[in-house]
Parts: sequence; C-alpha cells; structure tokens
Amino acid sequence: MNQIGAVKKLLIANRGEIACRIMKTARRLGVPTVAVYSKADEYAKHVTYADEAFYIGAAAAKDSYLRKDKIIDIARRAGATHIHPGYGFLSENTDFAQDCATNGIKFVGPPASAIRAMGDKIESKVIMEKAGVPLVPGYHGADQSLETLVEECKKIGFPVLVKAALGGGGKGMKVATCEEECVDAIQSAQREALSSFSDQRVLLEKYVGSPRHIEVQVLADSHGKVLHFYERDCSVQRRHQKIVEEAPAFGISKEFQAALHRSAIEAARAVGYENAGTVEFLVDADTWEFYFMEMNTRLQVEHPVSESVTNVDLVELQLRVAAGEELPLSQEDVKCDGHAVEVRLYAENPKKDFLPATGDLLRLRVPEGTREFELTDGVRVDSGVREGDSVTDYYDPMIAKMITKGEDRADAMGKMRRALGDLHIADLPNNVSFLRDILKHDKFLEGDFDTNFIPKHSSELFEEPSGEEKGRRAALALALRCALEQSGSKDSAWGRSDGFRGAGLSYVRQIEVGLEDEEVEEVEVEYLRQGGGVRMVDGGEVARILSLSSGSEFEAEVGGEMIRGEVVMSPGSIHVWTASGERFIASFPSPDHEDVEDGSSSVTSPMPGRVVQVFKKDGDEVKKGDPILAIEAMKMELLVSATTTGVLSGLKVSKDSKVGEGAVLAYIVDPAAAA
Amino acid sequence: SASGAVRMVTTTMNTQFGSQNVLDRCSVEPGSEDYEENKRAMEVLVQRMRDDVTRISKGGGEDAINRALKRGKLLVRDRINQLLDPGSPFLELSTYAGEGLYGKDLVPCGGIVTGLGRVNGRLVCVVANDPTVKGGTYFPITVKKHLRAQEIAEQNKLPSIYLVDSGGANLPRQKDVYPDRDHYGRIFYNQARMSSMGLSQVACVLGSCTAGGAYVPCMADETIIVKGMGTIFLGGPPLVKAATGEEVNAEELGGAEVHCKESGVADHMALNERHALQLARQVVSTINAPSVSEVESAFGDGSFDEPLFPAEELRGCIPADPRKPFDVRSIIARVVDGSRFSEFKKEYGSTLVTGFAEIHGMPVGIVANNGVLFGESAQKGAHFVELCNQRRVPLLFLQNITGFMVGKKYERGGIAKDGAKMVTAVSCATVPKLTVIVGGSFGAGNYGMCGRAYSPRFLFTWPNSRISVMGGEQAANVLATVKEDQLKRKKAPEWPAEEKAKFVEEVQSKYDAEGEARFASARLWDDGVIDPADTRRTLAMALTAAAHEEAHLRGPKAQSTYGVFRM
Repeated sequence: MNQIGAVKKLLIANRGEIACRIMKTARRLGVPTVAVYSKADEYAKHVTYADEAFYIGAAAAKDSYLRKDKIIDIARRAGATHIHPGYGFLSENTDFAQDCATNGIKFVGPPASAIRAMGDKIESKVIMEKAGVPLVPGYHGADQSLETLVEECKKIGFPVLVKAALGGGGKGMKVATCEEECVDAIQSAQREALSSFSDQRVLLEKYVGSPRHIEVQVLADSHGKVLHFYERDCSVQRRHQKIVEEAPAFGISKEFQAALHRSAIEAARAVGYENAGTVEFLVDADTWEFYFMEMNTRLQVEHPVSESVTNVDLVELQLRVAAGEELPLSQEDVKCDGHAVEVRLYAENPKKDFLPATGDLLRLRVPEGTREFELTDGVRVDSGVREGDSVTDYYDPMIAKMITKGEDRADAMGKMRRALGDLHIADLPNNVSFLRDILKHDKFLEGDFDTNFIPKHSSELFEEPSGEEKGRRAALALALRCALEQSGSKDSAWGRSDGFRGAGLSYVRQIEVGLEDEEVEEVEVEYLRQGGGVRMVDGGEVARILSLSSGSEFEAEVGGEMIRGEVVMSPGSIHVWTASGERFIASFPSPDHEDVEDGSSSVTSPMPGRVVQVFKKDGDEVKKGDPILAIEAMKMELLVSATTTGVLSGLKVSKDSKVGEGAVLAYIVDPAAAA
Repeated sequence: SASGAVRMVTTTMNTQFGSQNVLDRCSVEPGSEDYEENKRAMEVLVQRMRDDVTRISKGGGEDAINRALKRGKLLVRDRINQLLDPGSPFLELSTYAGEGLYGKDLVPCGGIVTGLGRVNGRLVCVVANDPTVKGGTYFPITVKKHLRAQEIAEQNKLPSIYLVDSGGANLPRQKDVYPDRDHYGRIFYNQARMSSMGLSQVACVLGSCTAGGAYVPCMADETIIVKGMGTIFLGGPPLVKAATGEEVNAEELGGAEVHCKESGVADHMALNERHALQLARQVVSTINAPSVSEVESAFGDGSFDEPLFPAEELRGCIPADPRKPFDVRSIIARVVDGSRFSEFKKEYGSTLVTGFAEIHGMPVGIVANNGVLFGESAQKGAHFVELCNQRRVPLLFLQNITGFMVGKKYERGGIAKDGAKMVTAVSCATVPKLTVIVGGSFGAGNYGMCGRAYSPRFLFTWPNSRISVMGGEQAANVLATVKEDQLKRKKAPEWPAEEKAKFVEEVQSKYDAEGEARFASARLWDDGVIDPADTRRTLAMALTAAAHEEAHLRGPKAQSTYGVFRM
C-alpha cells in the first residue's frame, strides 16, 4: 500500500462509528490519528481507537464537537496536518473549512466555496439550474415573508415540502398537505431552522407523491478528475431519515442510471467540487423523472454500501485527494460488483413513532466472526459503541450500521436478514426487529417501494404476533425470569426456585408482565416442582428452562417445543433472542411505591431533550390535549400536551431547560383541590 | 452467577464411601403386590392431608378473606410470598395447629403461619399472624406455635421476621394465654434474648397491634409500619375513651405517621403492604448474618448425588398393616445421597440400624428402628449417638418404635438401664438432632429415639404415624385387666364379656384417634406432617437451618448482653 506522505497526522473532528471508521483506514495507511472527545465521551470507543486523544469540552455538541477554535488549536498542538470532519458536526461548516485553511491545516473535504454553494439550498439550486441539472418545481426566493411563502405554496400546488434553507438530515423539514396546514408548517420549519442553523430562511418544493430517494457518490480530486461510484437507493425512511440503503438502485434502467451519474458529475463540476460528496436526487417513481435535491459535501453515513459494491475504500481516496494526489483510478476502473445493503441500527421505539431512546448497552453482540469496518463473509458492522457503553441524548442515537453484500439483491437481503437475526442488542429499545420486518416485506423485496414505504405498509410492518404466539412468549419470558432471578446454589434445598411449599401446596405467584410495548398485565404463574418449570395459571403454556449458562444461553421447552437462544436480564425487563431469529422483550415493572395519589396528574417528558418553548404557565387552566411545552431532541421537536383537564401547577422547567426521559415537568391538579 | 438453573445430577461415586455401602432396593419393588398396596394406603393419607392443608390454608373463611381483601390487605400466605425471595421454598411449620382444639371455634393453622424461608439469600424465621382467623388474636395454640417458631429461630440462630396483624390475646381465654411461663409474655422475653444474641428481630406492622401485641414491634430491633393500615397502641380508641374520655381515632392514636415522626416506636413508614414487605427485605439485606449459600459452602462445592431410587417410592415402603415388619434401610436408601449408607455395628443389636450418610452433601448420623429395642440395640444406639456427638455429625432419628422389650428375661438383663443409657446419650447430645416419625412412636421408645421432649431441632411425622404411651390394643387390654382385678378385689360379679369387649373397643378407638398424626400435630407435638416423598427435601432444609448455628458461632457475635431497645 502506498503511504500518503503528505498526511503526517490526521485529526478526526468527530466521534462514534465514523471516527473509528476513519481511524481504521488511517492506521492501515500508516497515518497517526488524533481523537477529540467531550466530557460524555471520556470512555468512548473512538478515544481508545486513536493514537492520541484530546479533551475538548462539555457534553453538549456546541461546547465540544462544534468548537472550531478548540479543534483547530488541538490540531496545531498535536501537529496534525489534516482534519477529517466525518459527517454531521462541522463536516459542512464553511467557516470551519475556511479556518482550517487559514491555519495551514488541510480539511479533508471540499473547499469552503463548494460547501457554501451547496450548503445554501437556494444558491445551490441557482447553480444547478445553470448547469442544466433538473430541479423540482419550487420556490427559493429571498422574500421570506409569510404571505409570499403561503402564496408560493399555492402556486406550486399541495402537497408542498417546507425545508430549512440550511437544513439537512430532515431537520426543519415539514410537509403541508393542504392550505390550512401551510402556516403551521412554515412557522414550525422556521423555528427549527432558527434553532438548529441560526437562519430561519426556508424554501418550498413540490412534494412528489411516490418519490424514491436515489443518490450518487462522487469523488473529485484537485486535478480536475471527477468520478462517480455508482448510486445508492435510500428510499426507505422514517421521519425523513434513511434507515435502509442499498447499492446499486434496484429496478432502474441502464440509461436512467447513466443519466443520474452524468447529472451528478455535472453538479459536482458546477461548484468546483473536490473530495467526496453525494448528489441526492428525488426520483418520481411514477414518471421516472429525477430532480436534483441537494449535494451533501461530505462522506455519508451510508458510504459503506458504495464501498462494498465498488470495492474501494472511500476514506483512503478522500485522504489521497486531500494529500493532493490524483485519484488512482479512472471511471472505467470503478465497477459495480454485486449488491449491498446497509441498515442503521438505532436506539429507538419503532412502535412509538420511532421515539429515540437512551440508556446503557447491556448487550451488543454482532454476528459471530464479523469484523468491524470490513466485509467478512459478506457482513460488515460499523459501530462506535461497545457493549457496556451508553447511548446518551447528547448525540445521534445510532448504535451501529450493518452492511451485507451478496451476488445479487436477493442474496444481500437474505444475508442481512440472517445477520439481523444474529444481532443482539439490549437493554435499549431498538429497531432491529423492525428492520428485519422491512427486509422480509414482499413489496420491498419486489422493489415496489418509495419514501412512503413505512407509513404505507405500517399495518404489516407493525403486525402483532398471534395470541398463541404471545402466550408462548410470555410463558418463556416468565420461566426465564424465574430461572434468572434464582439466587444461591441451584441444587441445594433452599437454593432451588421451585416454590416448594410442602403438603402438595402449590406456589402461585402474581407477576406483572408486558410483552414489547404492550400493556402490562398481571398473570398468575405456578411453579412446578417436577422439572422446575412454570405454568401460566390461566390455561397457559408450561415452560421449563432445561439449561441456562452463565453466557446467558438457554435451552427451554415451551408447550413441548424445544427452544434455544440467548437471554439478557436488565432491571425491569428481559430480552430474548431465539436461535430461529425471533426476538422479544418482556418487561416486568417493579411496583412503584412513590406513586402517591394526591389528585394530581403529572406531565412528563417522553424523551430526553431540551425545552424549546413553554406555552403555559403555572395557574393556567388546561384542557386535555392542550400543548404545554415543546421539547427538542435528536432532530425532532415534540409537543408535550396535557394528559387531563385541570390547572397547571409546579412547572419545573423553562425555555432551554434540559430534561431527562420520564422527568416530571409539571402537574395538572384538580381546580377544586388547587383552590 | 445467574447460571445453571437446572443441573444434571451426576452419578459419579463419592470417594468417601465404597460401593459396598450402597443400599439396594431393600425389597421395595414398585409393581409388586405389597408395594402397590402400601402405596395405595399411604396415598389415601397423603391426599387427605393435602385436602386438610388446602382447607386450612384458606384461613378464617370466605367472609373474613373478602373483608381483608376489600380493605386492600394481602392474605397471610401472599404476604409471606412477597417477603421471601421469589420462587424460593418455604418450610411451613405445623399447619395442623389448632385443628379441632376449641370446639366450635375454628382456629385454622392456629391463627398464625410460621416457617423458614429465604429473604435476600438469608434464611429467616417468619412468624405471621392471620387476621382472618379470629382477628389474629392469640389462642393458647397460637402462643404455643409462636413460641415454637421462636425456639427454632433461637436454636438454629436465625433472624426472625414478624408480620404483625393481631388483636393481641384472645380475651375470653386470657387465663390460658396470659400469665404462665410459656404464655404471651414469653414472646417478648424471647425477642429480647435473641436480640442480645445478635439474632435480628424485625417487625412489619401490617395491621393492628394492640396492647400486648404492641410489644412485638416495640421489642423488635427494626420496625416497619404501613401508613393507613398499621397501628400500634397500648390501649385502643375504645379503651382510651373509657379510661380518660379522650376521643381519638386509631390513626391519630397510633398510626404510621405518629410512630415514625413523633414517638419513634416504628422506624420505617411504608406506603402499602407490598412496600412494607419490600422494606423488610431491605432490612434483612443489612443484617450481617451468613447467607444460605455461605452456610452451605461449609459442606463442599454443593454437588451431591440423588438417591438411586425415586422419592415417590417412599410412599410404598411402610406396610399398610403396621404389624408387618419391614426393613427401615428401604427408607434410608431413598433419603440419603447416592443411597450410600456406611453402617455401624451392623451385626450387633440389629433391631436398631445406625450409620453415617449424607443428605445434600451434609453429613448425618442415622439412628433408625428396625424392630423392638433390646438392651443391645439401646447400647448400640447410645454408642452411636456418642460417636456422632464427638464427631459433630448431626443426628437423624427415624422413629418406628413400639417400645423397649418387656418381660422377665429383659428386666433381669437390665433393659431399663440400657434404655437409660440411650436416653442419656440422646438428651446430652449437643449436635443438631432431627426426628422423623415414620411409623409408630410408643412408650419409652419415643424417648430413646429423640421424641419431642428431647428437643430435636425439628420433628416431622408421616401421615400414617401414631404416637401414644402405648398401642391402643395394649392400652385397652392393660386397662381391662386392671378393671377386672378391681372387680375381683371388690368381689363384684364377673364382668360380662360383652361389656368388656365394648370397653376394650372404646379405649382402643380413643387411643387410635388420639394417636393420629393430625391429632398430634394439632397440639404441636411435632413441627408438621409431611408427605413421605418430601422427606429428603425437608430434612435437607432442616439440616441447612441447623447448620446456621455453627455459622453464627463462627461469625461476629453481639458484644452486648442486652438486646437492641428502641429509642
């Protein structure tokens, strides 16, 4: 492997999996690496991955990973010649790119001018229009008055997409499906735009009904060479964020593909692009027209699918370009080999509208034999966290990415389904099962999908297991719980958990159990002395745990069927993965003695975040459903509404307060009691 | 670690005993006519016991239960289940207590549930009032059962947890529960003394604790009380009104707030019963006492062999006809680890079987009747008991004894002094003693074989067992002879054969009824009737409990001669 002489030392101004992934390539190329970390990341994986690591500030991104000055200062102190920004944070920050240049440090990315041109949604459209790249009908004028924006919406015709001019990743993006929703959508987008980007300008676009999101990976060097690395289809999205990405796009013609690639290269050339970037297109699956959406001037989350099919290391190429080298290959050398798919594993609740979750990773087990950041037997896992780490609300709740590659699409998808079956994540709510359901869905497998795939097929994707299946799961969960909580010597007369009561009396125990996100129910469980199993009293199954190793592997018999798998117990719940790829969580709430009834109802935060607006004050009368405050976290704004009618009291937060998940924010009391 | 819920029982031979010491079936053959007949007879008794226990465990009847449930109370056994480690065993004691003792007044379970269970891995003695039975008031048998549980806690050095919900002494019966040595006051005497020994006394006030009842939580080292449910006062509102004219409600007089915030009579305020029991668990976790597994670890790695024959076969060992002889080794073979039994003095005094074995890896010296006791058997028994005492091996007595041999030859041979040797050895043995009455328990045989009077740590009986000073038939004949002699002395006309037969039959049936296991257990002559199939498990639990004494003596000891008194 050619050493990269010019890159003496590389600072990675990022965290998590992308920081680790960049370091991995740097290490292979013999380039020393420097990590930066916030207070929350003192023990993070990326810190241990680097040759050197420097503390940059408090947990909040604005105090650490967004501190341009500190990062550049550390780069100089550490003698880094290059800074790789990863994605997110400062990766598309013009000032940062500029500051790097000013301080004689090479920014691994495009020149500031290109970031600026593409970062401004309005300016970029003007440039693309000139370059002959097709654009979606829309409005990106300077007049940002509400009246004009509403008028323009009407002109474009509903539905209309309202986007923050400087936005990205779904932030500040709202859809107005009719005129009535227009003002709300615009104002909400403006608010998010202002809080996220300090610029409340928005642009309007025709909302394509059956849109596919296809993007082209490009890479340009400083010698005028611009190459594409095929396209990725990222249509399967939730909350406007990609969760399944594949390369190449499925079911498109060679001509269409070539046209996309051509437009992408033209777009890159039009802004004098350098280094890696992605040109995103909106494809109307009904008419097979495509429109330029935006260009992401950085390496993207989903870059591994392109790497997998083109057999290149995009980070290596980025570093070579940044070192001033010429791209070491021609367009003809870039071949698309097989098919690859990536899924993003998030700490979130798919059934609760994908609410992000935080907590400790009690278990993170990847399919056996899988190596990180490189394909092994067609499977690759990119993860920035290890078992035992926490997912906090300070940063993106992505746990890992998993990539599989196959000879063709069906092969890649099959491998992914298997790999997801072998992936164990606990104790965080996560989307593993949900992803698996997507990858099993007929329409998805046929290639009949667009960005509305998830809402359109929600009934099947969120299909409930049958009653019989639930009973089986509950019995297994209860038996496992009873076996796991056993203490003392398992064989001794007092250590056995067989509920011995003598004289033939049986031991029946009430346990509150909830499967997945279902209501918690109290069930009666009888302990069986013979064979040490449990039976659900209400005509339920008999489940016996035949063996349970310290590695948490179990063998059980449920209703006469043998089940093998793994189990992890966490406070309040157990996670079960069976060898046949089934997975479920059973929760066992502990009795809450603190819940004293005093006639008030508490208003709690559904997720950790920051209060962005408070609509009510103490003493205000509220009706059930009235918004009380808005919380922003993880790229989402969420309204917290009154759960009952009464008078607001004990409001504990104000604008910019940071709140934890489940935190009591205020009480709604009975007006009679309050008087 | 949370591993290995189910363990494969290994059949490797323990090197301690050679294979020649492994007992065979001892002619108990499932499928054989004798076996099936024995088993059928025993299963009738076991089923009857199960039915009895099911009835008794329902406490004070449907109305009382519904009243308790309506008030948001847990039933006494549910309280115990909540207190104990989930799914863990509970060795309930003397469930038959009070059965048929007070005529129309039914006092199921003696109105109090006692037993041993595991809390946070520690073995504790639980004493729980059943408020559905006569308001949890103390009948004489309630006192006796409470004191017996305390005795077990004291002998085995276990912490005690009292789940208190009692109206105190049963007033109409005050003369039988209040003044004597082994009456109500003894409960507090025991609490103070056990506390001074470092045996924690924890009370959980789940209902009323009036008058004398108030002293259980007050004498406890640490007390929990449920808000809105538990009350502690020396005199309740009616008494206060009568005495001073003061009108006050129970909560103001002695509720949780009063005692946790003002009087200091209680230490922890619980919001509900479940919370209280949770707090009690928490308190136990702070007791610096050895855990069950620590106690068990004194006996090796915890692995042991199961007997070669299934426990259920114990139901077919004892002949349905008690006059038929059988080999007691058939029981031993189904109780001890690997059916291994290292017999002592096998060829000498063969009506008593003695030898060493292990139960769940714990050594035990077994003394088992195999016929009537002769002088040699008694001497052998005394010798073996001395051996066990010297070696610190706990003793297990398997009683099935009609008594010592009678007759001229034997009296002249000094059987009385041989019996006395055995009684002396058993009386003075300081190792833990366990007794199981598997058949008859008659006469002085009961004494030599560690009957109740000899303070075995635990005494259990099988449902077929009989206990009385002599057999009903013998007693009837003895009494008939005495009466005939009287008649003769008075020169009265001869006793008509018909009347004599009636007399004999009456005495015999009285003896038979009074010798029944249920009758005995109702009076607390034992610690409970057990299913023969549970014998091994029960003994293993009892032996582990007994081993807590040694562990307690090894561990840190209370430095004060006073118990904890509350401030």
